Amino acid sequence: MKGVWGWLFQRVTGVILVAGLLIHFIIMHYSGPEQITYQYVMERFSNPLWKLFDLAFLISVVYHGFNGLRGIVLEYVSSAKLLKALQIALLAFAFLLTATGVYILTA
Amino acid sequence: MNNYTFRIKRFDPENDTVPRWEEFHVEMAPTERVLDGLIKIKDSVDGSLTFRRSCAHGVCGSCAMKINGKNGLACQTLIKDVSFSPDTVITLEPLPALPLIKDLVVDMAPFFEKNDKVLPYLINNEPPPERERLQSPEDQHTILQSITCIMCGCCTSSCPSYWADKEYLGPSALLKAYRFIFDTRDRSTEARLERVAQVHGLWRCHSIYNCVEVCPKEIDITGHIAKLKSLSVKKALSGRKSLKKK
Repeated sequence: MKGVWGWLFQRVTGVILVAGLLIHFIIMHYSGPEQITYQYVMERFSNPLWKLFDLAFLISVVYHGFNGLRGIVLEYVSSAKLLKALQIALLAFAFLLTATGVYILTA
Repeated sequence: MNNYTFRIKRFDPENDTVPRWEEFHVEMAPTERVLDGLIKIKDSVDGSLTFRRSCAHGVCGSCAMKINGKNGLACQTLIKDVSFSPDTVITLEPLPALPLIKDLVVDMAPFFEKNDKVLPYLINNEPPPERERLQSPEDQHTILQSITCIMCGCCTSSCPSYWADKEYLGPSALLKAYRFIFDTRDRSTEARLERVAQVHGLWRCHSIYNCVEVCPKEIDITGHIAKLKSLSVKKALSGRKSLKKK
């Protein structure tokens, strides 16, 4: 069997996204653009629970999005060489985004 | 009796490079079937019109085609259900996503090849009992819907995942895998899951429900595929020990 864990993780991150996006939207929307200052963000980051939330949210968003793109590539690209190149590119880009996010969260 | 217009997508491999549309007018009763219209056209208007039909009673699956944009059986579709007034044109096209041979006839070989890949037969090497291998009514009920599949190809050729990925097993083959995996008399669940839980297998199903929408036997194909997905996850979670033994 192949792809079982990948599929399961896509579902799990999907559930995390439903809850996470709700929290994310509420914060972004109701705190108002003028309130989201460096101070405000740093205050949030000093709380380990928010850090954990942001980390889980980041990983879920990147995995869910890029695994979805990979699915499209697997379906629409028939050339084996192009398929491999695109999958490597997607993986690299996903890794770069995760690394950037983790760096910001932990710096 | 009304005068109905049939707009048929035709293709003659000897003369056409691309398919062309042709209109036919037929006197029919609204309670007759689309297949009756096709037979009338072939008998009395144009004998070169090519289509498959065998049993004409919704059992063989030969006359599957795209009727007014939706896959279905011509023998199971009444004129009054696709043409609400005599002015409404009845559009007929071959099944999509399969190689076109002539007019409404497509090459079903790629479809049947996918079916062969899931080992579509009972595998049980235990010594046979004196009489038949018994099955309880409850066990029979689990696979009852999947057994009613007539393999007409409506589902697989309506699946957007199959349109994009011709290597994808497709809803029909996955349903066939379900039919044997969940058959209590069968002993080859692991070998079949191995073939089905693959990049071009289960995970290409995105629950689009086109297959359920068009199935002339009204089988909940997407639901059956979901059960296969969940079985794969359960097997993966409980470890691969049982897989390695076989």
